[in-house]
Amino acid sequence: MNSDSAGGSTVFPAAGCTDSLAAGCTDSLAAGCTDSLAAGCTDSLAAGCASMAEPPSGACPSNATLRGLLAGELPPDEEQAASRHLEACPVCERMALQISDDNPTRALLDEHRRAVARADAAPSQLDELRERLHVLGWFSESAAHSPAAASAKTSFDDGTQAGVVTGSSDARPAPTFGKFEIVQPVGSGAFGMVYLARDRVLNRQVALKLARTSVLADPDLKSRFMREAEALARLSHPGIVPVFEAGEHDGTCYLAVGFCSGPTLEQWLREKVDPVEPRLAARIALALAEAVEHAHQHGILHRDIKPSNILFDGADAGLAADLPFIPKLTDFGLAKMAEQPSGATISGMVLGTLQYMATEQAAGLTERIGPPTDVYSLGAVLYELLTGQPPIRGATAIDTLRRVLVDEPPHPQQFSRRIPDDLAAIVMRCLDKSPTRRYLAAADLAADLARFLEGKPTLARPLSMTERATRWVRRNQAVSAVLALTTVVVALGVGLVAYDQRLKRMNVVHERQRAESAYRDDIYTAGQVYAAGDVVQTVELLQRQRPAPGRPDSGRPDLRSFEWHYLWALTTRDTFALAHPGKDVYQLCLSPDSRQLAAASADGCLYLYDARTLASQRVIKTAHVEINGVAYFPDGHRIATAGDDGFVRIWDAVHHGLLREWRAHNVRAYGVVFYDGGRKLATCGDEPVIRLWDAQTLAADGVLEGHTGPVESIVHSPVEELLASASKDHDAIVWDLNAKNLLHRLHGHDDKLSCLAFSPDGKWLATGGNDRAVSLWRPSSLGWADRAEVRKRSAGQLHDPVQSLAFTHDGRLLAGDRAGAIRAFYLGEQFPDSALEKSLHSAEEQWLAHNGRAWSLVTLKQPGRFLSAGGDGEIRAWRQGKDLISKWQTDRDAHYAADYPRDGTQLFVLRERAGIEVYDPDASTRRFTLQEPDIHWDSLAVLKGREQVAAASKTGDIVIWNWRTRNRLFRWKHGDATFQRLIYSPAARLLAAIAYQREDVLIIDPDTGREVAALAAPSCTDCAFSPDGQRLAVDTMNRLAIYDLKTQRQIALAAGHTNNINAIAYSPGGELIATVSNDRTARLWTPDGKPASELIGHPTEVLAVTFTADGRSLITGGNDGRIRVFHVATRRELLSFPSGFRMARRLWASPDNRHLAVIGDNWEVAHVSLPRRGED
Amino acid sequence: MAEESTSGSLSEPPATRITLLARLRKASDAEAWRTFVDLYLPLVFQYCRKRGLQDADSRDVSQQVLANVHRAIETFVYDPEKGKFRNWLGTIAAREITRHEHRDRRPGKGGGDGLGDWVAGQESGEVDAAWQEQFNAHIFGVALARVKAEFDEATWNAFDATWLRDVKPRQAAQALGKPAAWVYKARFRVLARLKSEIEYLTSDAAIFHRPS
Repeated sequence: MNSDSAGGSTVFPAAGCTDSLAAGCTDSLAAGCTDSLAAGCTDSLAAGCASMAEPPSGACPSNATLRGLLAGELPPDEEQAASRHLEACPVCERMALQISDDNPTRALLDEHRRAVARADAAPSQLDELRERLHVLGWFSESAAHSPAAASAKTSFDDGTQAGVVTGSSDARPAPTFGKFEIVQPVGSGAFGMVYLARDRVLNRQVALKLARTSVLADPDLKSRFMREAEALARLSHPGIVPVFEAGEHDGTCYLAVGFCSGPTLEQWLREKVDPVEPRLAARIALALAEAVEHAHQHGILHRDIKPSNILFDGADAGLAADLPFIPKLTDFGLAKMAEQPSGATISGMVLGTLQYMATEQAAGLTERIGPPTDVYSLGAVLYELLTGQPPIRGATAIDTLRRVLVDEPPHPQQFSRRIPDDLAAIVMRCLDKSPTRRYLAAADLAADLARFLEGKPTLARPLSMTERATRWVRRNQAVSAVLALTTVVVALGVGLVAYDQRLKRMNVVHERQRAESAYRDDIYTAGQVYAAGDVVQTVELLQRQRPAPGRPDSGRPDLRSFEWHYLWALTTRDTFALAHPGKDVYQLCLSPDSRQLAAASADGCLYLYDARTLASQRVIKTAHVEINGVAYFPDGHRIATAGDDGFVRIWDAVHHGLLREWRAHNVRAYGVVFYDGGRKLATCGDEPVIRLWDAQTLAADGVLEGHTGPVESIVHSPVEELLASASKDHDAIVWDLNAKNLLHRLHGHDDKLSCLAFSPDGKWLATGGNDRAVSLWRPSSLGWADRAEVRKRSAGQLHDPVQSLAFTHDGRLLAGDRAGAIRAFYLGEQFPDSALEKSLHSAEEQWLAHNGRAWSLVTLKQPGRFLSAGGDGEIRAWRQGKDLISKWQTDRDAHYAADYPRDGTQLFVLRERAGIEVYDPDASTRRFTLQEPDIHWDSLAVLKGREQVAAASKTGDIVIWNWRTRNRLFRWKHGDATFQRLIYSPAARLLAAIAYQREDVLIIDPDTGREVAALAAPSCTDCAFSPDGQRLAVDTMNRLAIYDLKTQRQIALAAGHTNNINAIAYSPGGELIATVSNDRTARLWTPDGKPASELIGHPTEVLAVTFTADGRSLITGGNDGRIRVFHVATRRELLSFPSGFRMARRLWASPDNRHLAVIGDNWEVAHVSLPRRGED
Repeated sequence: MAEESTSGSLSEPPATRITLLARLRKASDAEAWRTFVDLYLPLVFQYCRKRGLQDADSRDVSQQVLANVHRAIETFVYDPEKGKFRNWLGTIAAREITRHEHRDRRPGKGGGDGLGDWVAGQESGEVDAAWQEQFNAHIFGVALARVKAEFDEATWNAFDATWLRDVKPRQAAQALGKPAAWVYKARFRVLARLKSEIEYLTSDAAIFHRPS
């Protein structure tokens, strides 16, 4: 092998081969060669090659050598030789080709080629999206510790300020955009790109915001964008950067807003060395709160208040002379506009700024977002003004999220003692995790800030240390409930447990106290949110206090008492039947004879049930994918279904076979109804028209046009050939089916409609939509055919979007919502107009029916019974709930006293003439009566556990019965005193009696009737034995006197009340005495008569008091007719509810904590009975 | 030719190593996240398009997918028994597409959207072949682009002609004015580099190095 021969041999074969390469020279060469190669080229290479016409110089190198050559690993001389050989030897060339190839990689190449071939001609620009996602990474970093991260993050904030130019965008903007001249890009945010631009027509500078492309793709989103922009344009406030116009140019939605030179509050803060002076901070926050209030009054939430969205504008002077600049809020509602229409989006969730985000927003509970959400963010900004840092900071996004959900922020005064108490309290109130505990309106915050600035007392009171501690715990529990719904539960679970354990170590002693405080807060909040119509949150709060085995906190004590059972009973109902098809049931339909129920399910099956028992009769599998609508023919023999495949199918209701099918809509079909006696049918689907069909021939019979959005639901009037339709275009339309024309367009909802219902007489139409409103419509007295405009007669606001509606046959409207709650509104038998205005304002009943949407409601013929279907895949049969409070008054006979001898199964009521009547209170039936002739009774005493009951008359008689045997044991007479109170002592078996116009309490031996003692107590009203029977507490002259019964000596006389004491009660354990008074207070005392605390919250005289049998709660009755329940452990109010009377004179609680008897004005008795509904 | 089969590991689709997730899970490395986004966003986007989504929808869905990953990565417990990371990602993408397709079909259908029904311990079973193909093709494309930047023009052209376009090496050598052996060497070196880049890209290492 020398270079000459190698060089010489290079030229010829190479040239020859290359020339004929296209002709497949190498292939033919290879054909000859490969055979021998296959036979073992390496071993007998020379032999194989020798058969070739031109033997190469020297023997072929081994494969290893060849590989070494290609990899450049051979020594120089070997490399030269191998190279030379390779030039000449086709066999080795073949080998080299193989060695320098790789089959798996080639396979990837092929896949790649296929993919490239299929990809778009013009690959999409993903730069903006990529940058947005990069931002997530910044959220992962601790912005505070990394200046680079912080500044980089800023550039992604959607700011209208100049000067923050992102150079990172590859997409160069066009120099003009419609009438705008682009000056420079300013940044990009969740909404889209932002440019500083000049309006060439009006010759003014604007900040031009271009929407993301996805806004365009979705017509719903686009129309919402325009609508919300219109709303924004209506805002006019010196503290709000104005929105000039919104429009669309070249297929891109844009928003032109006022340009403000800045700086942003964020920039301003960054340049400051010291925290802002508290009064200046308060003034800034006040200005912002007023601006936010202005927007709230226009129905617009900001949703993303943070320092970078606040601009300081020095140009406008005059808002407040003492402020050097005017703070202006920008980007109102933009977070929402960029959001997908359904649910929380990632852009809203994560790309918002967590540090300033309220708990409910961070948790993605979009249904809970309201004005208090913005109040939180305002508080967070104020916090940062005062302390120089946001209230919540975490090391990572998840950490921050966890802190937003769990942690109380450090108290502002930890950073600076210069921050006044009141201002710190205002901040902390804004930052409460629970929206209901914040200022409910920005105006309230503004007012409190103004009070602070004027030096007046504020409403936000500084929290005590214990309160702070207990809140902390409450948060842990609160959050565990919130998080059950969220992603982060796994990550946080560990953290929570760890925190909880640390807490346990820290303070074992106060654990119970904290649990009690958490209980109190939960129950109180539950009562408040229930009153506000939020059934779902009420149930969540109650569930939190329900110990369940297997839960992490199962070792917790069960703290539930009367108040829990009360709220639970309010929010739950008995179902008398249940079916569980499994997946969402979108529509229910009763057969014409009401015997069968058809259910349209998301699993594509049609389920048939016995309408009364919900026993399954048949499951018909369909090809619908999902069935959205179902209807019976008037003859009841056939059923029509409408489904996602756009088909309508007709089924034999008896033999369950498919009779007919046709594609009624090219898109999904939602609803189907029959008319004209079953000869025609109407269908709706994901298009803005309603199609009419001949039920026999299936020929198209017309199209009802008038909606501009998909028609969600159609219903047929029960009395006329009218059809009503609900559409995503926000309107309902009433159609004349005979004339096939539009009769009335019902315009009044602010969002998509999802459901509607005719009243049984056809005179009313109810509509419900995503705007959470239920509206009632009624035509003129001439009926729907009258062309006069149909006006909305009444509207009510639910807490969640309305999903289903049904009228009952007894004058009620049922409304199901997206959260699974059902509400019943009582409209009256005749739906009188006068009563209507208020009728939808508050629900007669509301309860949580489904764990998921309440998709459909159907009223049964039996009064008060109806069915619902839900997103939990269940069908439930309900009966109209019984009032928790029942009142009875048989005649004019006065009821003076009552009590429960054992549990809640018997109630003794003392009536002036009839004597002692014994009721089964749950059934409201009288069992028997204990009576003596010709006695007018006045007071009653029940000896619990001994089956004795005593009653005293107006004329000095005292009679004792054994109530089991109903035998009279004693009867005797004490002068002619009228005993207004008669009380058994628990253990010592004494009777205490208080008579009108006597200055003492008589102590009587019930076995003999003998007077044992007379304890002085001038002008006394009530008395109570201590549970051990050793003492008697009695009121006298506004004071509380305590007697030792053995020595008959007064051991305490406690002053505190400033007016007459109306009632006294010992706690069951004897550690507390409660007194209530005309001075509008209830007080607690120690057994020795020392004041323990005052229970505040009564607006009127307090008339009655009793402890629950477990001693956990104290119940009072007031002159305002309300019953209030106080938490003994925290001494705070838990709950208040109306007794049904104008005043609640006296109260008795049952030993089982589930019953309460009330004597009201007119001396009637009412009975609160709390059923047990799967609560344990 | 037994030694040729050492590259057989590539016939298995590229695997994503566990430490990738471990590193990402710290959620403290924004750079790692950027790289991750740059690497996987186009893939997910193309997959969406392939599954028939419109351009804008594909953007939204791929944003959602990556954001889901970002959220889930902290809680994601990598269990090789449960499947590969690529399948996990594919599952998330496929599920998000399905959800998108079902979204808003009726008012409120699919309302549990968002955090609610996300499960971090998502089973990462086999994903459809379309995803696998997309994944491989994408990784290949990225690797190709990166490798190209590392070589001089002539070397790349030699590889481009002889490997990517199947021009005979001798012909290529003539066109380039280089010896045939040089062309084989170029072809061999670039391919070796491409192989290692593919392995690198599908391993965690890629995520934590700034692309040059």
